Formats: sequence, C-alpha cells, structure tokens
Amino acid sequence: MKARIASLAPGLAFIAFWIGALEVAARNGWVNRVFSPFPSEIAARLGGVLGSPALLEALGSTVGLLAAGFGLACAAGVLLGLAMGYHRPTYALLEPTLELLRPIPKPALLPPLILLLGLGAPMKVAIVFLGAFFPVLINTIEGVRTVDPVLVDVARTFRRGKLATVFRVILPASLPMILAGMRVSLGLGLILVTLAEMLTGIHGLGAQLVDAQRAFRVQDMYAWTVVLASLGLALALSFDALERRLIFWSSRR
Amino acid sequence: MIAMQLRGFGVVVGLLLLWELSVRSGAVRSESWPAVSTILQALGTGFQAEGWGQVFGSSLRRMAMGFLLAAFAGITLGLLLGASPRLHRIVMPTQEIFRVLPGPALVPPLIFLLGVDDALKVSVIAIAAFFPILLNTIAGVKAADPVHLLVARTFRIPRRRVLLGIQLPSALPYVFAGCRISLGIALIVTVVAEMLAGSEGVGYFIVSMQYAMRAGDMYAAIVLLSAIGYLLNRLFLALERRALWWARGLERQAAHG
Amino acid sequence: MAELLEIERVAKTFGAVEPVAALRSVDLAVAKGEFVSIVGPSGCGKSTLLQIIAGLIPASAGEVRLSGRVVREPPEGVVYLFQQYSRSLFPWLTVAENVRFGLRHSAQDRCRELLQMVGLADFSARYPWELSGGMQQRVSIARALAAEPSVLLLDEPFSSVDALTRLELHGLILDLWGKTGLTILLVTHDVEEAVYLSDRIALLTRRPAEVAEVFANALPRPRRPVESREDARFLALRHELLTRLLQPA
Repeated sequence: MKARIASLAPGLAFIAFWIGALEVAARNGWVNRVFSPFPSEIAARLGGVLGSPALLEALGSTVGLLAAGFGLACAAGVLLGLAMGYHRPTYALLEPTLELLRPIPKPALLPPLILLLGLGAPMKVAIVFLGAFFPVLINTIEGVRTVDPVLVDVARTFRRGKLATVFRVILPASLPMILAGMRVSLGLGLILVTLAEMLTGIHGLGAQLVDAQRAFRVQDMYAWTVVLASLGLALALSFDALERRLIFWSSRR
Repeated sequence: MIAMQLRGFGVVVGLLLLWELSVRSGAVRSESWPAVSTILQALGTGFQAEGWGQVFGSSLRRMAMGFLLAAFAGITLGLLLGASPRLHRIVMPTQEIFRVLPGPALVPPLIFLLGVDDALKVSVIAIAAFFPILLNTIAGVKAADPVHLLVARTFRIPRRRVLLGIQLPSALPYVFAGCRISLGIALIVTVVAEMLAGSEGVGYFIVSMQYAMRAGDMYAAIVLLSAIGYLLNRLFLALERRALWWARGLERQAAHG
Repeated sequence: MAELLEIERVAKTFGAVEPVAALRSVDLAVAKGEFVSIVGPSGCGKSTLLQIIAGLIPASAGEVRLSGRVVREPPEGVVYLFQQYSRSLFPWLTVAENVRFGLRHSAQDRCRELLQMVGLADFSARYPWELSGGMQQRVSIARALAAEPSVLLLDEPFSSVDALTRLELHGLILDLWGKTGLTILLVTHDVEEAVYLSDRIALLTRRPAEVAEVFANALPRPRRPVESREDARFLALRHELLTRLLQPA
C-alpha cells in the first residue's frame, strides 16, 4: 500500500504543480479570469455542489441510467455471445446483421432515438444499451472461440451436457476477454449518457454541465467537470477491483 | 457452409423488408420511422439537394486535422514516455484522469476558451484521438524484446541503430493499431462536437434533421456516415499491412547489417 | 466371453484436402481389470488411438466397443486423462472443486476421500497453478476417480514430470489400480514404464499405425520400484521392445 502511494507521488506532484500554476496565472490575470479554470473558485463551487441535493439528483440519474443500460447490454451481449461463439449456425445467421449495425457511430443514433423515444430515461437507457452491447458481444464471441480446447474436452470426457459445459467451463474460461469488453463498454456508456444529457439538458451530470455553461456560471461548469471526471475515475477503479477479484487466476495459467 | 452464410444475409434482407412493410402497411405511423425506400431516396438526393459533398467534406477535413495533430503528439510523447519509465510515472495520473473523463464534457469548457469555430472542434477531436495513440505507442516501445536490447548492448550497437532497428519496428504494429482506433474515435468525436457546438458538418446536419423532423434525411446521413467509417477502417487496415511488411524489412536489415 | 473393450480394425485419416493416415488398422482387446500399455515410435498415432477409444474423436473406419456397445461419443464409465494435465485443470477452481467436477452425483462429497487417496488431502483449498506438476497430475487422477470409471485412459501422463516424481506416481497408479479393480489403458513412449506397470503391452508400428505385436508381461506382482526393474524378466521384455522400436523403418 505504501509502495503504491510512493509510486503515485511524482504524478500527483505533477498535477499539483499545474493546479498551482493555473491558480497563480488566474490571480495575476495572465489568463482570462472569467473563462479559464480558477482552481480556488472551482474548489469553492465544488464545496457548494457536494453538499447540495442537485448533486445527488444528477449523480443518481447519470449512474442509474448508465447502470440500467450497461446491465442490459452485458446480459444480452454475454448470452448472445455465448450462443454465437459456441454454435456456428447461430453465428452465421446473425453475423451479417451485426456487422452492418456495428460500424454505426452510436452518438449519431442519438437524434433518431430522441425522435423515437423522447428526451427521458428510456432514450438514455437505449443509447447506453446500443453503445455498450457490441464490445461485450464481440469480446464474448472471441473469448468463447479462444477457450482452450483441452478444457472443453475435459467437459466431454466427464460427459457434461452442452448447457453445463457452456456455463461451467466456457463462461469462466472466457471471462478475461468478456471483462475486457465490459470495461470498454462502461467507458463508452458513460460517454453516451453524458452526451445524451448534454443534448437534452434535463437530468444528470451532463445536463448540469451544459446548464452552467449556458448561464455563464463558468467556474460552476468546471466544478461539474471535476465531478464527471471523478465519476469516470471511480468507475474505472471499481471495475479494476472487480476484475482482480473475478479473474485472479488468469495470469497464472 | 454457403447455405449458412446465405441464411445470414437472408436475415438482413428479411429485417429490411419487415421495416419497409411496417411503414407501408401503416402499422407504424410515425414521423420518426421512415421507410427504407424513403431513406434510400434521401441518400440519392443528398448530394444534390443538401450539398452533402460540402457537409461531409468539412467534417472529414476537421477530422483529418484533429487526427493528424493527435497522431503527431501521441507518437512523439508516446516514444518519449515509453523509453523513459520515470517520465511516464510523472505523467501517468494526469493521463489517467483525462482518459476517464467523458469526451463530450470537454466541449463546454473549451467553448469558453476557444469559441465555437473549427479551433474548438479540432481541439476536442485531437484530445480524444490522442489517448489511444499515446497508450499504444508507449506499449509498443515497452514491448521491444529486452533480450534483443541486451544483445544489442553486448554487441555495442549504436543507439540510433537500436532505436531504428529494434524499438521502432517493435512499436510500429502497436502505433498503427492505436492510429486505427484513433481514426474511428476521431470520426465519432467530430460528429459529437458538431452536434454540441456546430453550425455545419455531419453532426450539425443530423441534429438539424432531428429538429426539422426530417427522419429520412437524418437516417440517410447516418447510413452514409457509417459507410465512411467502415471504409476508412478497411483502408487503414490495408495501409497497416503494407507498412508493417516494410517495417519487418527494416528489422531484418538491422539484424544482418 | 466378450472382452470389456474391443478395438476392431480402427483406422483414422486426417485432413480432407491432403489426407494423412494416422492409423491404418488397429485391433486390440482388453479384458476387465487388465492394465494394458500401448507403446510405439513418436508420432505413430498412439494419442489419436486413445482419443478414439475415449470417444473424443470419431474413427474413420472400424469400431470400438465397450461391453458390446459401439463407442461414438464419450461413453459412461470411461475417463480420459490428458497429457497436458496442467491445462486440463480449471484454474478458477480450487483443487477440491476441480475434483468435485468429476463427481457423477453432486450430492455425495467424496472429495476428501479422493484427495486422501492421491495424497493431497492438505491441498484441497489451493489452486492448481500453486501446485507442482506431479501434484497437478494427482489432482487430475483424483478428479478422474471421482467419476467412478470402469476404464481409465492415460495419455502419456508422466512424460512431463521429473524422474523421481514419475516413480512415485507409478506407485500411486498401481496402488489405485489394485484397490479399485479399474481397467487401465496407458499410452507411453517410455518402454520401462510400460513394462513396470502393465499386464500386456501392445507395440504399434510407425505411422500409419497397426498393432505390430502384443507382448504378455510375465513380471510378477506386486511390482517393486527397484527390485522389479532389476528382474531378468523385466530386462528381457525391455530389451525386446527397445530393439523393435529402435529398428530402422
């Protein structure tokens, strides 16, 4: 633990340096005090934000809708990926359709989705789902394909049925690849939900950000940026921890 | 085998037919759900009536500028940080923070600092496209086989030859992969920036079509955008293959020279 | 009386475009409770034959019968032990959980008993990758026994452990065989191992393989690691087999 903090020290010092430099530059008027980030001001605003119900509401909306879309995408992606990876005919049947849908840039689907589903929660869950689905699916298929054939043969010599083989052997064995896909999906999901919130401007962290921008509450805007970055970091670190617990065995083979 | 693949295409055709039928039969009566035929029509007229050449052209131009900036910065910094673990450790937390921040969130701050013109969009694109290239380049430099480097030291091979003959070729596949990923991201971020702060370009066009409820044009633009993204990816893959073949030649030359 | 395992005119060819014949025509019968070894030159198809008997791959011609029934996929009562034993153990499961995977009815928990039989009772909570090669092989044996098989198929099980561990594992196998009355078919390239362990030894020809000859093993039981290997009958059989194997094609 101590070693980890020690290795982070130079990096944290680097960040502190830049924050300090920005503060000095802003105080002396070397940069535009209104539009540039003014660290002490941002900190003050953050203090205000952190206590407020606005934060809870925005955070709840963003995280809740992200979780819903991401959860659905993972479930669908893993199940379909297992089926397509394990069963050749299913793969051949669905692959052309998925290959056509995959290159569509998901942010570009926001306007159509807004037209179809409105500005609220269903639209946001839908866009997160669409964005998060493909990386999980593709990685699951790849993971299933690269399972050590010896492991599959073990299941065969012990006469385990197809379902048991898929869930007790293939799924655990593919987990490293599946989790790698989920990690990408989580990042993508956060981007998409933020974008949706910024475009519709009603609930969520993205909406708060755009709100502050439009009202020219510049330092408030930066404060919300800090909140968003912190959320991103928290999600990434949590995912890392989860990954470590689930695939503690993968580097040992 | 072929039968299986035909069935797959059959599924695509079937779904498209279902879509068309859902509109024609009146089952779905909505402004936002255009028929496939309407979209195809819009694709056809897009270039004449809507000036898509200009729309897509300006977006691709911005994308290219942002991408090139990102590539230059990413590769240079990546080589530096890959070769110097100490420097990398200093920069790492900053890098991580920017990496996990959702790209769109950068737009409002940058609007204040750079306005809403091309400068803003190119900057956002460059920042978003920068990270995959940076991370991949660092990984590529670090992936140089330490045994090769040791052998080079034993034979007292000059630093420049080591850089060109061992570290660069080993990093190249990673650099190319990073650039390919970044190109895809650059295209998407171009559209996003235009959606958030645009007055022209594909992103702005799609959002305008949303407000105007012209779904056919909107979907058609999305289809064309996807096709462009797909083509760019394939083109880059082909480029990658040729360049890596060339790089392997460099490696062989350095080994024998 | 019909034998337990009948291998009749089994042939195997790989590859549709450029066919490679691995097995030409293999005939072998194994009685219940026998310990039979299959030896042959490298690459002659010994493992392929064993996998066909295990029902893991189909034969191109001929058939394998277990208690009179034709084997087309992994049959009840037969367990195949992999040559790459470390790859065959699930790394996300503990030793005990790996053994439990072999159990036919998850209701019983014979794990403790099985691990004791292979001498690994203290390692039940460890993970396979924490164990040495020899110990991993014991885990896979325990897992195989969990399925209460009547036939055990061993594919070069001891080729990648060190010599001393190999001798220990020989002792373990003979011990378990004595206690359980299993029928064992062992594929190995190690002639001494074959002579030390088995009742009979089938010698395969070079690829495409057939059974060149089946040797009866007169070495008395119980077999002892040092003394049996110095016995004249051991040396004679070993001499015969090695000479045949080292003959130019």
